[in-house]
Amino acid sequence: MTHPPQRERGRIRTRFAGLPRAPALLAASTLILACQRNAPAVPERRFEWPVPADDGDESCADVADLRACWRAGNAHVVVRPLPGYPAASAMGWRCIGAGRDRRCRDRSGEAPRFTCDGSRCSQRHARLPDDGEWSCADAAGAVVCTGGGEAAGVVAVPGRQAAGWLCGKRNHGGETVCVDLSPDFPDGQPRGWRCRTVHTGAATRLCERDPGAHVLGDVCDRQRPCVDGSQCTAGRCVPDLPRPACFFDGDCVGGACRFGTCREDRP
Amino acid sequence: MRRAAVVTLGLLVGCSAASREPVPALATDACLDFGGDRADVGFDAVFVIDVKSTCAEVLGGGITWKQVAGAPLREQHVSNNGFRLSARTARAAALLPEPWPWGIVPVSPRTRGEVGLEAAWRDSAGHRMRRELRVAAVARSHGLPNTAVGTRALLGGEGWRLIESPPGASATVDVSDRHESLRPDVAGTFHLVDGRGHQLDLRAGRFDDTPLDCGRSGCHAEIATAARASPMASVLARGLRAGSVAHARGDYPRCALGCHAVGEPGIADGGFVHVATEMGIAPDAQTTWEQLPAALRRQGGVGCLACHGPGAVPEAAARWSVLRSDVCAVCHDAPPRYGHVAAWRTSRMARADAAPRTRSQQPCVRCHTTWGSLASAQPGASARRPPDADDVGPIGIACVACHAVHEPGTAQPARALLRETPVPTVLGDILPTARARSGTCLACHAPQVDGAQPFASAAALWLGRGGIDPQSGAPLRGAAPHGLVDGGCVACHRAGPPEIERGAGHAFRADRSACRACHTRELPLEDLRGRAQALWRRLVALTGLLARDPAGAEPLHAFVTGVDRSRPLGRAAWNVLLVLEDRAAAVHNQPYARALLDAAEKAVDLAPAMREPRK
Repeated sequence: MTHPPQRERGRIRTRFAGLPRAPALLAASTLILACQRNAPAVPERRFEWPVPADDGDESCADVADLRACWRAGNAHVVVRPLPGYPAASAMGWRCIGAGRDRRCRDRSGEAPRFTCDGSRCSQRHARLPDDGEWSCADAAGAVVCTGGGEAAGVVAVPGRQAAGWLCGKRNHGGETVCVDLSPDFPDGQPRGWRCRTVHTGAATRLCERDPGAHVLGDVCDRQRPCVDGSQCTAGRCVPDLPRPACFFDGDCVGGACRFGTCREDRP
Repeated sequence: MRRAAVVTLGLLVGCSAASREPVPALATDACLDFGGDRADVGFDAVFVIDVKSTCAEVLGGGITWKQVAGAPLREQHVSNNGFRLSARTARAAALLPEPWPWGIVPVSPRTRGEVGLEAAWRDSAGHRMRRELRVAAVARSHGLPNTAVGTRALLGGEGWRLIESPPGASATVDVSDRHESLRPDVAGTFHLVDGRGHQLDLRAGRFDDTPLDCGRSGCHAEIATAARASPMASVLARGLRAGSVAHARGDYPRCALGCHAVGEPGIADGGFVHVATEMGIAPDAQTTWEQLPAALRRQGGVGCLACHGPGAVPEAAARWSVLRSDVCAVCHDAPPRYGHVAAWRTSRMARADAAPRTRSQQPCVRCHTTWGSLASAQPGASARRPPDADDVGPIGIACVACHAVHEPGTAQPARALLRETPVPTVLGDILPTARARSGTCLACHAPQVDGAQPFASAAALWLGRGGIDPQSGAPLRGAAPHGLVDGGCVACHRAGPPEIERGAGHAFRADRSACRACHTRELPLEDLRGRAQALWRRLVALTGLLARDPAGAEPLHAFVTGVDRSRPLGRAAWNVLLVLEDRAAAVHNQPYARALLDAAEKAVDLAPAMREPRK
C-alpha cells in the first residue's frame, strides 16, 4: 500500500509560502484548473525547480526539515525555502545545491515511494549517493553510506554523483563516506520514525513508527538534549559541521564517529 | 509478412527499421486494460486474454484480433465482442529439438514459441485504438544454473525431483507437455536430482537483489573496467540519447527492453521492466538515461547479469555453460531480424567439437573447443572446460571464442567486440584492416611454427606463407594477391541464410560475388587438390608416414602423426599438407599452392629410391 500523501508540517518558514499547501489530489486539481481563466499559475511538470536560499558565503545544508548553516563550526538555523506548492508524493521535496543554485526535486521522481503495512514502511531501492555500490546505515534521522565502488557494467552519470549528499574520503580503506542529512521518510516527516537500511538484496530502507525516536531536527532545550553529534541551536537539534570521513568509530582517532564525521574534527 | 516479423522481434531484440505507423491518441486510450505481455504461459497451454474496460464508452465498441508474429496459434477463439481471446500455445517438441541437453535447457526468442497479437478496438463513431501484445510459452534462458526468481527453468533429463529448497520456497517440479520444469519462487539454491541420481544446484535470485560489486579490487576489476566501455553496457544509455538513431524511431525503448536491459519483460524477476513497474514508472517511457532512477540505470543496458544471470554465480563445476552460444542466443537468436546464432548454427564452427575426441584430446581442443581456444591465450580459461560427460554435447567454436565482451585491459573495445588474438608468427605482417576484422580467425587457420604437422592452413595459403623449401629448409614465401583484400577472411566469408536480415555472415560461407569486385570473369582453377593427393600417396610410400587416403571426408591432420621437417621429404610432406588442409587453396592463393606442390614434387622426384608401397 502506498502511504497516503500528507501535508508537510513543521517547516520553519518558506520563502514561497504564499500558495496554499495541499494534498497531492488538490495539486492535481490545481493543475487542471490552471488551464482556466483566473486560475493561479502553476509551473509545468518538470524535473527540478530553482529555489534559491539565502546562504551567503556559509556552508549550508538541508537537515531533516530544517536548513542549517555553519559558521566557524557553530550551526544556526536559517529559512528553508521550498516550492510554493505540494510535491507529488508524500515524501515531499528534496533540495540540493546552495545559494542561488539551490533547487528542489520531487523525491518520488528519483526514489521509489514507501509501501506501508500498518506502522512499518519500506522503500525498496532506497536512495543511494550514486549508481555505485554502497553500504548504508541510519543514524538519528540521517543516512550514512560507505563504499562508492563503481557498479560493474553500469554506465555512470557524470555530475550526478552524490547530489544532495555530503561526501568525503573515508579515513581508512580508501572508500567514500556520504551523508544524507535530509533522507526520505514515508510521509516526508523526519520525526516519529525509526529507520534503518538493509542490504540483503536491493538496498531497502525500513521505517517503523516510533514517536519516541530521537532524530536530527528535534525540538531541544535543557530538558531535551540532542543526540550525540548534534547541537541545540535555536531550539532544534542540528549536527556538527559535516566533514564526512568515517563510518565506524574505529575510523576516528578519537574513537567517535557521528553522522559520518569524527567528533575530534569539530572545531 | 515482413511487417509481422518486425513486430515479433520488436518485443525482444529490436525495433522496426522505420517509425511505426502513428496510433491516434484518444481519450479512451487508458480505458482498455490488456494486462501486459504474457511471457510464460507454458507449452501446449491454453491462455486467455480478458480485456478489462475501465470506462463505459469503450464497451460500445468491439475488438478485432490479428496475429502478427509467430507460428499460427492453435484453437484460437474470440468472444465477448472481442473482449476475450483464448488460444493454445505451441508444443514443446515443435520448438525445442529433442533430446534436450541435460540440466537447464537454453531457450532463445526463436524457441520460446512467442506470438505477436494486435488488438484493434473500434466503435461506431469511428474511434479506434490499437495495442500489441506478446505471448510466449516460456521465458528465455541462457541455460545457466542460476536464474531469476519467477522464471521457469526447463529441465533436460528425466525423473527430476527436489531434494532441498531454500526457506520459504513452495516451488515444485512441474510436468507439462511431457517435460519437467521448475519455477523458483524465492531466492536461494534449489537442489535437484534426476532419475539417474545426477544432482543439479539451481541458484535463484532477483536481478535487482544481486550486487554489482564484481569490480572490487582483487576480484574482477579489469573485467569491470572493460565492461563499462563495452557498447553492450551502454546500449540503453545511447539509445535514450536525443538524436540517436534508436531515439529517432519513436518506439524506443519499448521495442527493445527485452534486450537492451536486464530481465525478461512480463516476469517478476527484478529486471528493468519489473523494477520500473514496481516503482510506478512506465518502463517504456521516453526519458533520458540521466533521469532514470538509479535503480533502473543499474538494470539498463546489457550489464553483467544480462549474460551471467542473477543471484550467485554457478558452482565451479557448472561455469563452463557460460561459454555456450545459448548465452548470446537470448537476444541474437531471433531470426529473421537477428539471426547471428541461427546463421552460426549452419556453419562448421558450430560442429567443430562434434567428434568426442576433439573435446578432450590435445592438441585438438585448442581449435575445436571454445574453452580450449580461450585457454590457449588465457590459461585461467581452462576452468571453463566442460566435464567429459555424455550429457554435455558439443558446444562448437561459440561466440566468445571470437568476441570478447569484456577483454581485460581493453580501454576501447574492438569493432564488434572482436577478440584481440596474436597473429601466428608464420604469417608475418598483415594489413591492419584485415587483422582488425579477421585476426581472430588466424590463430586456428594457420599452422604453428613448431607444430608437428600443419593442422590448418587457409590463412597461410591466403598470405603466401608457411611453406618450406624442401632442399634448403628456408621459408618458402609467395605472393599474396588476396592479402590486400580489405577485411581479410570475412571480406569473402560473409554469406549466410538469405532470409536473415542481420548476422547472416556468421554462417561464414564464401560469397563468390565478392570476387567480382576484381575478377570480371571466372578464373580457371587448377586441380591442385588432386595433384596434392597424388603427391601425398607418393610421400607415404617414401617416408612411411601413416598411410591414409587423403581424399577421405575427415581432415588429414586428425590422422597424420609427425612430419620430420629435418629431412627434405618431411618438408615436402609439410608443403603438401598445407595444400591438403585447405580445401579452398586454389581460391585462396593458387600460385602459392602451386609453388608448394612444385617444390614438394621436385623433392619427391629427387628421392634416391622408391620404397614399396604399404599393403
